[in-house]
Amino acid sequence: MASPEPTASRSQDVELAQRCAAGDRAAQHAFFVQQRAQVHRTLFRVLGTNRQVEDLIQETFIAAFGALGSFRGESSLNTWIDTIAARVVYRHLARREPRPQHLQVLAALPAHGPDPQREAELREGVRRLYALLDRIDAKHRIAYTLHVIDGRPIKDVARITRASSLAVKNRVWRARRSVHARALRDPLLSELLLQFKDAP
Amino acid sequence: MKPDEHIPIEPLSDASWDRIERSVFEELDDRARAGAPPPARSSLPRWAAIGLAAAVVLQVVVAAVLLIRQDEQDAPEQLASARYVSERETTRALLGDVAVELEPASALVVVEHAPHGSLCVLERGAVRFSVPPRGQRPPFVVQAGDVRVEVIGTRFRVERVAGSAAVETYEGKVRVVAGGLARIVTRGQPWSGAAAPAPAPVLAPGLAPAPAAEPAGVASESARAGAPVRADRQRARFEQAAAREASDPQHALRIYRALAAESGAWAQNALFAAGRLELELGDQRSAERALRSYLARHPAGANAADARALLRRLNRQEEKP
Repeated sequence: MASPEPTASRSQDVELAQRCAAGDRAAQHAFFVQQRAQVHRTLFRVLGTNRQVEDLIQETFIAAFGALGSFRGESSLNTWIDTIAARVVYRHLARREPRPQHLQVLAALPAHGPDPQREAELREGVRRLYALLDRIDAKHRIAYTLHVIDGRPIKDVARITRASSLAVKNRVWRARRSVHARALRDPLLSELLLQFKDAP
Repeated sequence: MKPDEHIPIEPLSDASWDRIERSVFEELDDRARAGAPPPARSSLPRWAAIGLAAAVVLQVVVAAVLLIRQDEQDAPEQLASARYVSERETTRALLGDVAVELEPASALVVVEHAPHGSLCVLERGAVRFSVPPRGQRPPFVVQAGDVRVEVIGTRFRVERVAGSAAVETYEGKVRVVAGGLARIVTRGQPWSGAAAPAPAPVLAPGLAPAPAAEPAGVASESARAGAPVRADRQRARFEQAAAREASDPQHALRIYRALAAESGAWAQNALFAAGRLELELGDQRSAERALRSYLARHPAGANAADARALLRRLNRQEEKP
């Protein structure tokens, strides 16, 4: 459960946003450096790869700089820019053509354990999971990846995606149903979900 | 183990971050130069903010005019064009003695602003001009689609409507040339291109020329090919190229060229956009080839008049010693 964000930090956010909106280049750099990891995390989590992520980070920041003048501090800058990143990645997913399987590129995972065979299987499970997510509705995918994979609370995902908690629960449920249906026929995917404690 | 530990965030390299940061701030600079800064909440009083903005715009325009003149003197091969784009708000600029007011989501290319005359091409949206009586002054011409507006000295508004235009005069009069006919438009007698094609598709503001209406032949052909989907994809690619123009023009050009090799309204738009962009990038030979190819393939296309205007500009540049 996320705790309420401190007021002092919120007023700092508002001040930074106002300086950025007024064209203060130092503030704009500070904002970029402060928020870039968060934006990258959100986009990477939804996409599962760094392919195309550079363009989407740029798009997110350009949109953010255009809208900072309207930031009122109702949420933290982290949440605010996550909202923009979610919108950018949604547009990207909604307009793109389905990707052929052989073009999918996935993150190279660090070896957690001593068993390379098991690591390879988990990697393959992740690849199959994102291949499956490529074929489901973009809103369902965003809700699923941010809630189930990134572990964000439903209400945070709802705030970021500007949807009700009920809608987000519904989207996660629908995505999960697709994933589970596939996992029943796919041992590697099933094994991955077991690791997630999200097995069917 | 939590799911996010199984799928760690793959870090981006420092080079990637540098590239992203550079692109973002170049884009911000480009927007500021184009007179369309991101909407800002300023702590200044409104009148001071407006005055400051006007001063900045004036400085930019003066600098642009000086650069244009310097380019003409020192490097004749350089282009003397500037592009003004408005986003959500009205944007004002001065071109010498001419006041220009771009309504939201408009784009105006000043192809030429020189002692012997000025030519502006309205790519999309609507622009209000306030032009002192020409008399002995050099001519001032606005091209919008296939409509040419020659200013006699007036306050007037030109709106791009697909491949044509609508013209309204508030003071004085303008001479409108369209379809080989010329007429004088005075106050209270707005004029509109009679045979304006179907409304053009909407594009992301600030980035692209007005798209062509789907020609009848192409429309029927594309309908047979099930091409609403293809048209949507082409449009997405066009918009992607338009969005990249400022940050990565070469990439945008590659997309335009690839799209131009296909068929359909967006391919037509892409061919013109490729020529326009090549001109902006200083590749006059490629620009001329693309614009001539556009006119050969689409002599009555939505951007035909713009293409002719740009070619005339190119020819005049070549004639200079």
